[in-house]
Amino acid sequence: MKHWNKFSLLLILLLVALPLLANAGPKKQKQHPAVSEEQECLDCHAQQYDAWQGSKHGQMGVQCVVCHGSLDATFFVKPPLERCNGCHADQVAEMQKKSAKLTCTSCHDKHTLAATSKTPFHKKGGN
Amino acid sequence: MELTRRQLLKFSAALAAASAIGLDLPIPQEARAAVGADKWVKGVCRYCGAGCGVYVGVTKGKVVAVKGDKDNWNKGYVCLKGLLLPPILYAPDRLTYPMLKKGDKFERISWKEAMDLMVAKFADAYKKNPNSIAFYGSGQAYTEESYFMGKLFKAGLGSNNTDGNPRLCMASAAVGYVSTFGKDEPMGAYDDFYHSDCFFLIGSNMPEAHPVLYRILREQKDKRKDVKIIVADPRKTELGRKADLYMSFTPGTDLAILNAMAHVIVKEGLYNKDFIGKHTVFKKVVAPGPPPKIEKTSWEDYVAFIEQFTPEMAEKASGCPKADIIKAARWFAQSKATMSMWCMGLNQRTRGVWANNLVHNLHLLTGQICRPGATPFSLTGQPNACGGVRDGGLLAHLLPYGRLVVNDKDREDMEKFWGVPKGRIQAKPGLSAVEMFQAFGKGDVKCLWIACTNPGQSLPNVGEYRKGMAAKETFLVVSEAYHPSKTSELADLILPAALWVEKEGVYGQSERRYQLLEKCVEPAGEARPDFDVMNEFGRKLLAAVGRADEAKHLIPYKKTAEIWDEIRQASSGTAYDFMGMTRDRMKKAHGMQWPVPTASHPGTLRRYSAKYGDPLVKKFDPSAADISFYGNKADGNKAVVWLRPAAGPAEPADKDYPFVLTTGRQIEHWHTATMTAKVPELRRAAPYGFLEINPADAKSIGVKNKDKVKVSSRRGSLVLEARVIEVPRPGLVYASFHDPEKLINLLTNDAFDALSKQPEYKICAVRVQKA
Repeated sequence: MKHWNKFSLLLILLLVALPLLANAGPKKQKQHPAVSEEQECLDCHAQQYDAWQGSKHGQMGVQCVVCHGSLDATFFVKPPLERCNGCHADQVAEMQKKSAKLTCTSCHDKHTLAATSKTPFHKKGGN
Repeated sequence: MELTRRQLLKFSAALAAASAIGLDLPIPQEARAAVGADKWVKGVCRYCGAGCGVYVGVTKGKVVAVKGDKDNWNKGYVCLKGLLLPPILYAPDRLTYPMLKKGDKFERISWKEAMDLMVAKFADAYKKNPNSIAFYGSGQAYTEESYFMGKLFKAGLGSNNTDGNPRLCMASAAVGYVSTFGKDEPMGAYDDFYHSDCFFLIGSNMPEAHPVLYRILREQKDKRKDVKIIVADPRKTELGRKADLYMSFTPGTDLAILNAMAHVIVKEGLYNKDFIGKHTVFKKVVAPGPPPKIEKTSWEDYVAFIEQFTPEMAEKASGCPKADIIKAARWFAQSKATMSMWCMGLNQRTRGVWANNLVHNLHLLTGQICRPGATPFSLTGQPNACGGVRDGGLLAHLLPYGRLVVNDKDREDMEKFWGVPKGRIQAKPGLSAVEMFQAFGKGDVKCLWIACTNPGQSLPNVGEYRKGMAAKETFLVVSEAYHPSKTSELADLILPAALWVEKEGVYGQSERRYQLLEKCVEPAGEARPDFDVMNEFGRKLLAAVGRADEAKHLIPYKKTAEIWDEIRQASSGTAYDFMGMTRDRMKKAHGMQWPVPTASHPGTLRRYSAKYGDPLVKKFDPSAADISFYGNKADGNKAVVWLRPAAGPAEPADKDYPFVLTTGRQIEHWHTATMTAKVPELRRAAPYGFLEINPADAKSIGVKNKDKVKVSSRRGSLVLEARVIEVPRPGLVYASFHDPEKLINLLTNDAFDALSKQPEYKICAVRVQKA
């Protein structure tokens, strides 16, 4: 499998090069602690998982990785707006128009995504 | 050296981290979902048959984001796979140049070398025997590509040896529609979700296989308190847990349940006598054939036939309580509007067509059809199984737009339309999917071209067919976006294919909605759109077999839009008629549902009803007041209620193999995961295949959750991690077929339905032991 040998070589080069270049880039995302392939989000985040599971996102299979990413550079403690934008583009645009500082969790619970504000923000009929 | 899954995970992490610090790596930093993009291009999701409308965000020539199209049927929603599409284009194992196998290794060659070799091999085999070449296509290829290959083979070469993977997923639904209504494809639409108050779901895992459709179902259930959901499935998935009535049964006994529901409807007088009299005929098979001898029969004969299927009899046969069967029948018949939906649970069966017929029977007996919310509706697995391979006529027994190769007039019509000599198209159907790979294994087919699909993983009893695909005596060409896949690794020649929005074409999804995907970005490396390769191959192959002049008028295309115009012409005058679906209209529209007979017609939400807007009722059946099943002219534009007995699977559980194995999809991955496994988030969420087993069964064989178990059938065995869970009923185990390192199809049964030629993936007998 010559094809994979090339990737293996690249992988080794990367692993050697990364520490040398690590300080050259922008501020890094907070990293997720190393976990085994067998470990699931639920194992350490049961409270958040339970809240999510009963929510609309939980019922529709919008899993942890959609908002929080995987465990590499795609990992996000605070979900980036672009993830929300995939299904709720109008609401994200509306929010950004009001204030660049707002995020969805400014008004929505972090894991149930239920609205916490008593004042409805979005136009009726949104996603 | 093979990379392990763990190494791949680490590899991916390194790539992404390096990308974050600015190294030039295959996955661009921009290929992460972004709120902003240089431009947003309207398109369609690459994955399932739901066909979600999306906008593709493009920045600096790279796809950076996907968002749902709020003006399409999906109202702006996408599932997790759709949202995370961009990385599939930038995976490190994208195939970027042609490769030829030399010895046991693949070596880079030029496109010219690849094309010259391919043409020479196919021409040589063809000259010796026109039926010794074959093409195996895909429900993921664009419509223009499937139509082109059907035309090249059937009209240009006089060979019907073109089939595709929709044979593995939708053939029973297609033959079910044709045998009941005369023509393929549903009459209903997703809009029926908003009008139905009784949903009957059988053999579907909608929350995982079609998540955005499930979102609508749940929304309707939450909003309208009178909505009832009936779910019949041997696995109690999320769908069954949310049902008002969940019906569990021994796998393979659902035909008895469907007939028993009809029994209750007849016995309790819940049928619609007026509808039955005006719009149905009754038929039965009097000699099995092949071909089966069919006779028309009567309502009285049907009533006598259905007598045997009492709820008690069905309970004894299936294990489903008779009270549930009675309740389901009453809800089905008495609701204001009932919508049935099913997927592979009915289709991937040796009696898949019969099962489809029996669902249609329930709608015809009760008149729950051809009005808002009342319809049978088959769910589709692939984004263009309907639009390309079924409608476009690539399957070995089909010609475009409802025409059949066995029908003399249909062949003559297409020969005239395509401008080839009369008699060019063979009257005998070509090889269906499983038959094609059987013939390739035997060497009867010498040259096989596989495009846009992964049969080295997805065929049933795949170990047997992998041997044939690896044989040195035959010539296997594989067009793929990635290498290695479980198919490309077996090829002699692999061709790099443009993927998704790297090319332009039309997808047609489950509700007859055709949608245009425009090219957004350049293909990776030397990859080319399959159409470009097919077009060049077609011209050169026809020239090599002495038909260069014919090629000039038969395949004169320069771009797919030209084929689309011809396709519209081919549909004109048929029951599919979408002559009015021009490329310009498609660029603006968020999909259009055929029939669309004229350029001013808006498309058709519901078929077979003049009242609800089908423009073809008056054309084909001018005297019809409203409903007309005009696809079935031979039976007076009426639909067929079939007398179909109950029949079990080809391989039921027995004392040596006491469990039933069923397979399916899980939400994180799509089919064989060639694409979804390239997305770090999805791979992390579901890194490997496992075996679901009921806690009672696990206890009986001494297995605990996460233990390794060996699962074996008469065809192969595999070690998987046990997932002990109350989802499969006792006696049933389940595995997803996505994991290339855990080929569950080594175990599945390749016995197929005699009518549809679709294999019985859903049921085979296995034993399970602690490993």
